[in-house]
Amino acid sequence: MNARLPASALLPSSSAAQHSGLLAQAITVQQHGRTLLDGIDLQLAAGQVGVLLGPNGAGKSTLLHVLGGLRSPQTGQIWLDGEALHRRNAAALARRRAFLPQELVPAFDFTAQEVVELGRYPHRLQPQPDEEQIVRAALEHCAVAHLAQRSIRELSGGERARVQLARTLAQVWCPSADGRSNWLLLDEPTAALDLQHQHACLNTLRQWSRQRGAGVLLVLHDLNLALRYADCCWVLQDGRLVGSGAPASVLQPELVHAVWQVHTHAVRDPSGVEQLLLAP
Amino acid sequence: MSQTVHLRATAAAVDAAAAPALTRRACTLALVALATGAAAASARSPRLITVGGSLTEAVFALGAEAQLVGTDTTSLYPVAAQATPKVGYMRQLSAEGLLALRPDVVLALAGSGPPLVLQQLRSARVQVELVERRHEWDDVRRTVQAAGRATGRSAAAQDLLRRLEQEWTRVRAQVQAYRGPTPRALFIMAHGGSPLVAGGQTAAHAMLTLAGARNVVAGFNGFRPLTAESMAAAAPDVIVTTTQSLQAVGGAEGFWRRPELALTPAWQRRHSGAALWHQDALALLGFGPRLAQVLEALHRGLVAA
Amino acid sequence: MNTLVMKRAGLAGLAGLLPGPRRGSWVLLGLGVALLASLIWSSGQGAFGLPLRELPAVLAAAFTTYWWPGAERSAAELVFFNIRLPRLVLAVAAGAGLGVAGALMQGLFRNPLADPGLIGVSSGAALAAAFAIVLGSLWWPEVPLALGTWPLMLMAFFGGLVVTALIYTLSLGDGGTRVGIMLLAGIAINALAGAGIGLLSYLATDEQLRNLQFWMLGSLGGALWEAVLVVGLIALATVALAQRLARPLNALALGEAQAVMLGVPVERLKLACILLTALVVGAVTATTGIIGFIGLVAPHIVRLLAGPDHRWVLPGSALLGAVLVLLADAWARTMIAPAELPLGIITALVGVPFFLLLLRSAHARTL
Repeated sequence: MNARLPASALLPSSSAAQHSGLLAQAITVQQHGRTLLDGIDLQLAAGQVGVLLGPNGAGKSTLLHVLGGLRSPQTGQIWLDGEALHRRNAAALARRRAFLPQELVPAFDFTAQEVVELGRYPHRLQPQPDEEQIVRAALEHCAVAHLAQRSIRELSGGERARVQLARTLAQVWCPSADGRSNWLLLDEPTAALDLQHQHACLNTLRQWSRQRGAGVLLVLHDLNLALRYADCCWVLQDGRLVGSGAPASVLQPELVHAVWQVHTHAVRDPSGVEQLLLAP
Repeated sequence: MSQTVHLRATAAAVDAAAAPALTRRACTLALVALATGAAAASARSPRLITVGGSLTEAVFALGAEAQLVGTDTTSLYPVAAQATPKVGYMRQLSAEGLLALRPDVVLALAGSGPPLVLQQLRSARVQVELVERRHEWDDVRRTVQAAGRATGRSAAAQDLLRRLEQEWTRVRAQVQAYRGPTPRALFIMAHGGSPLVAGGQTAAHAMLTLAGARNVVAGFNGFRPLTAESMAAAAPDVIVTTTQSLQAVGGAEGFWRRPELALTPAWQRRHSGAALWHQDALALLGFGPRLAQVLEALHRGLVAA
Repeated sequence: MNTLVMKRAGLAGLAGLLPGPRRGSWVLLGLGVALLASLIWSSGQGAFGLPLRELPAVLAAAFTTYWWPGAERSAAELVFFNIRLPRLVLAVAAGAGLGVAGALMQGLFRNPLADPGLIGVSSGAALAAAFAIVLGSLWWPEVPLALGTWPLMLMAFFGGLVVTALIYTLSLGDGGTRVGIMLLAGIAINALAGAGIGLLSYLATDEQLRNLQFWMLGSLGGALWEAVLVVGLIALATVALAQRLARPLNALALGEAQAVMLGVPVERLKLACILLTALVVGAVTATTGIIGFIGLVAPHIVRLLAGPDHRWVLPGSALLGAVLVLLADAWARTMIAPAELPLGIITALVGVPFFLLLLRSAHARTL
């Protein structure tokens, strides 16, 4: 079932200003004559976990970069809590919105703790009284406190990914001063993690959205993780949106086959969460 | 040496003044004598640094080598000059290095530097005299006169200059009296192993011209690398070079093996021994006191070819 | 390989003995003490034979002469104040400038093997100097164009700036400068400048060639007090301004996208790094010729001692750079006294083995 948002759900620009949450309209990105994203609309409320899904080359990372403000779309606009993204002050925005890109090894031998401390950089002019505790708490939250004094370049891929996650969390650890929600944008945060930590990571993110009211948008490859942890998802194929809505309703075997070319069989696990069994 | 004489005189004076009545006066006199003696000694034989091989030669020719406290790296003649402390290359002198030798006078060829160092020497009350070099006989005159002034032996310098001028006049007359065909020559420098030919505005060009030859590659200025075609077009009968260049390319055999020379008339006459003439670099190009005798030898070598 | 690992472990271990969070401040303190010690020791080094113990007398005499100008200055006084002291000040300024510029470049390119020469300042200055020395006689026939003369200094300074501006412009793309392109453009322009210098060397007379050669080998001996003070001020200003770039550079080390997301104005940061580097290296190179490897070596050693936090690495590189140049210059002017060895030769002789060691350890890390 193709659950596209009906056109009436798209807000006109005037009322976009009052909309809270992440709102993107008609995003188009072109490069060297190729269309990377074609007319994408997206809406995510704070306190929800949203997932971008799709095969390789579908445009998920590109879309996430555009939504994060790292890349300007050819057409379309993005609003974050009512204010258009391109007019934003990057430094102020950095205090409320954290972005975790795909793996990049830092150029120098920073320790894990120093990397997480860098996450607090946007708050350097208005530091909290307990900056050191925040850093330590973030490290503990991601189960990397024992690696605090180790050089980040010496850690394994999974450990490094958890340290980067800690940094991302540290960046928006405290509620925003003006009461607006914090946002987390993550590009494949589970890519390097082992099974246990994949679930721990997504669990943490979901807790953050529930308990701290943060808006979380991430790119995932694993459909089952999306089914388990996401509130809404968007499926991209060749730069176009082919499905959006609750994961359980969007990720039907027909759509999955059309997009990923694999046969799946939906089952329910004992706790009632729908999962897909793959049968290539 | 004069200082020792003064010391002895002082000691004698003190001894002589053992008589109490004269002691104090004698001591004062002795001290005054010592002081003026020292000043006079320094005024009479100032400590000298020469920067430039020809200047060093001139100082030795005046017999004032005892005053020489330092020379530059091009000062290689006479052999004793090589034993003096070396202050480095003329264009890269060190102010503190020069001052460490406590000179009174620095005699240098024009172009020595860096300019700031000369300035610093002057501000340290060292007399700095620069001698122009224009690759002509007047160079020798300037060199010898400057050396005379710097060493305080102007009279000896005048004598030396008179002798050198007589020799020069004789050699020039000899060159001009020569009625044979003008020798076609060129000069090759190969101190680094790779040969360069001397064009116009070089010391070598001046020497060839003064020796009555024609520099067949005078179409450009300065030194340029050889090419076979330009050599063939130039067609020299004689090739002049420095002894050091010859050594650098491996002697006369190594020299004639260079492919660029193969099309020249000089190459065809290489076995005669007269197609290649060489002399020590400083003697040949230094325009120092040996100019006249070197020019005579050069002229003889050129016309023999 | 094992010795290398042990050496690194040893150095890291030594630094590890210092209290953790304040390690950076201890390193800076240590380097400051080292600078003072080097300065004092270097004051007594020189061909003139004015050892350290005679200095207080010289200083006292100078004080007297200052207040009673009629008195004549002794040779020792003249040597110290006109020759040695400006060299010491220039050594500190040059070392500090080159050191901090190297640290800025390594932070900008996110690579511990980067060097101020990458953005073309040194080769631009050298090309301009070659131009001035060889063709300058056409415009300033009376002025000798060797190290330390004003026309040459100004040309070298602006030459460095122009080439840097060229490389920066070449690397501009939509959305800002691309560091990878900057690197490649730098290599290409450096090669072009080298070719230009080669051509000018070919056209040069013997005298001009020697002047150019010695300029390119680097020396602290050719600078007037005015020039020294100008370079000193520029170096001081650069070190002070660079400190404000320290935390943004830390964030940049995580990656450009990351830094943008942390709110760092990355394009302004890159421009600031390049501008500061071009100014200070241009000023230093104009007065001293080319002195290599300080910008490469100093930040690397400081990083080994104090960690990669730029808040310590930037000032530390300035301090250590000053120490290295002071010591190298003391060696340069006493090793073959009364002659003098060009400074660039010494920094290269020490720097090249160190650089190769760096390459090996950097390679070893990626294994």
